[in-house]
Amino acid sequence: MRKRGFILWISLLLMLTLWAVAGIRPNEYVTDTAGLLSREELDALSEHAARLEENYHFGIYIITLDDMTGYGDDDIEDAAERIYLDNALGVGEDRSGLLLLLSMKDRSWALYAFGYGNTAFTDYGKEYLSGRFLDDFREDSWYDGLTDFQKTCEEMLESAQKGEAVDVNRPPDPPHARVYGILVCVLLGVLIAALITFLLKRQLRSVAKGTQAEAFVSAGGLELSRRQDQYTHTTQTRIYDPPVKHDGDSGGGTTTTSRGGSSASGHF
Amino acid sequence: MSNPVTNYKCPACTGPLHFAGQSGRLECEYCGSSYDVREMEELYAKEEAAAAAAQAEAESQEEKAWDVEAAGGEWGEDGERMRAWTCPSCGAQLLCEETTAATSCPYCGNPAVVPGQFAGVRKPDYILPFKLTKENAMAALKEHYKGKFLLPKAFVEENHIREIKGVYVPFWLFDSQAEVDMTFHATNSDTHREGDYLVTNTRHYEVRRSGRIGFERVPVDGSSKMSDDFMDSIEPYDYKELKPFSTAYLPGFLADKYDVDADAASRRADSRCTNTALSSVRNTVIGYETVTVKSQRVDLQRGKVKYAILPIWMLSTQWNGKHYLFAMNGQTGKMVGDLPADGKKLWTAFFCLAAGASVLLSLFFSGPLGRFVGGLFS
Repeated sequence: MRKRGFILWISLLLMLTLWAVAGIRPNEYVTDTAGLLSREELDALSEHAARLEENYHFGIYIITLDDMTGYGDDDIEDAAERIYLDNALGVGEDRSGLLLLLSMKDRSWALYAFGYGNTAFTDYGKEYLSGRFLDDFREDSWYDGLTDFQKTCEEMLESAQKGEAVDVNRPPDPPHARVYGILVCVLLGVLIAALITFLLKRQLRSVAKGTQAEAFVSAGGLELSRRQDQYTHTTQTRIYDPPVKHDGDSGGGTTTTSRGGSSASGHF
Repeated sequence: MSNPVTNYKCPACTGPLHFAGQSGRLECEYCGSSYDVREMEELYAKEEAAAAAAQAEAESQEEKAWDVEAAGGEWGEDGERMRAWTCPSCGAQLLCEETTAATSCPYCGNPAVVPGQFAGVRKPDYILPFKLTKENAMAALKEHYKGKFLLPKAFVEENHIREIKGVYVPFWLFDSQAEVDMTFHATNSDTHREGDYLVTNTRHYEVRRSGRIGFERVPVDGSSKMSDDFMDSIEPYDYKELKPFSTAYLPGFLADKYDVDADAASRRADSRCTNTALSSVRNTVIGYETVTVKSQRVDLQRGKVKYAILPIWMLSTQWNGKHYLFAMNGQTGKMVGDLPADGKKLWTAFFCLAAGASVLLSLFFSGPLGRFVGGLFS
């Protein structure tokens, strides 16, 4: 009995030591061990993440590390998976959530989704999501990039809730799509109005010089004496136009790991 | 000196006779009698000869009471374009343009034909008598206003017909044959995919067409006073109702003699016949995706030219200081004439339509359209 208690105590101590080294505390939305964010920025991101959890019952986590070594055998996706699962991140029974892990030493990033995250953040969705924050990270604009990350997560969760998770066959609207759409509709509306008013104005004109004499053609009309259609040659043009991959061909969806999560990674 | 004037009077009551298009007879509006055109022509041929002799005798006996040599000046060139005539009904001395062949007296309203006005020019071969009346023309003008959204309401309500006159307008009627020879380059194509390439095969053809097309009585107005576009716009006429010319059809209407001769008018007829000949042949080239003309030749064989006077109702009105002219085919009733547009209505319609169409389009298409356009820019 004393032995079991000792082992339990040692294990707990080890875990606490590990968390202390990494600065990672379970169920915190933003853990900035690399020191990229100010206190205010960290609070703002945490508040946003809390709202997201409340609204979507889904955890959005951000962890920054100086070096991921010791978490995942130099593989940041492994590190992200280990951190997510070992720290029992996620919301609800299925531990739904998404983790963004940054390792500053090798300037790498990883996304790790679990539970409902595998549905809301498909492989294509993760690629799309990374495209929204990497440009800021490349310029060391950490807070801007992380804000974009959270906003995009919110949009993607909203789409997923409607059963339209961002995927290959359901790409998200490009930025300002609505504005472009309205501008095009207004332009078309003006063109339609111009055409109709032109036709209405033309109703008022009934005088025009005659250029034809169809009404005075003799009873027999045109008598053709020669009607010859001769084929001469064929020309061929070839335009390079590789076929566009159809939605169904590219295999959307999410590829999961053996532990049930899904991930994506890269460098910035 | 005044010209003798033919004034057809009713043999029964001496009231003025008018040609009535609907009955095709000369009618007296006072006693209701009507007479056949031929019958009156014969009667008046005799009376005109007697009247001319009597007038000549009377003029020879006139005495000069006053020295009128200094009164008035020479007409000069203007005089060549004017003619004087005496109204046989009220005796008024009147001036008219040299091309006016039939008119009415502004004092007593008596319709009259001025036979001297036809001197020196060809006599018309045909006349197409008026079938429609002044009332028909007024009704047609009202109909002309209908269904035109941008026509100012005030124009319909405030404008009043200033003048309405039935005019026999001189026309040259040209017969011709056109021999046409055309060569075209035509193509058809189909496109299919070969791997990463879109392959288009275009088959080329040389197309030849030759033919002949005839034209009968292409009208060109012989009056420089009448605008060509108005005269062209009220075409066509039904030539089956053409009659051999007689002055007996003129009373009650104005009549002009030609001042554009057949040679000058023929250029317009040639141009119209050539255009129609070419387009008729072009329309026989069918079954191709593209057709371009490589060469074309039109040989016009000019035929007979006839001179006819055709019936037209001319109506004029004024509104907001601007003059508006309308013309109606006196046989078919086709009415033409440009109308003003209500600027306020036009802009209101434009903005309402633009707003409505934009909202509707936005409701239906903003998502897909936005994605498409956004995709082009992203």
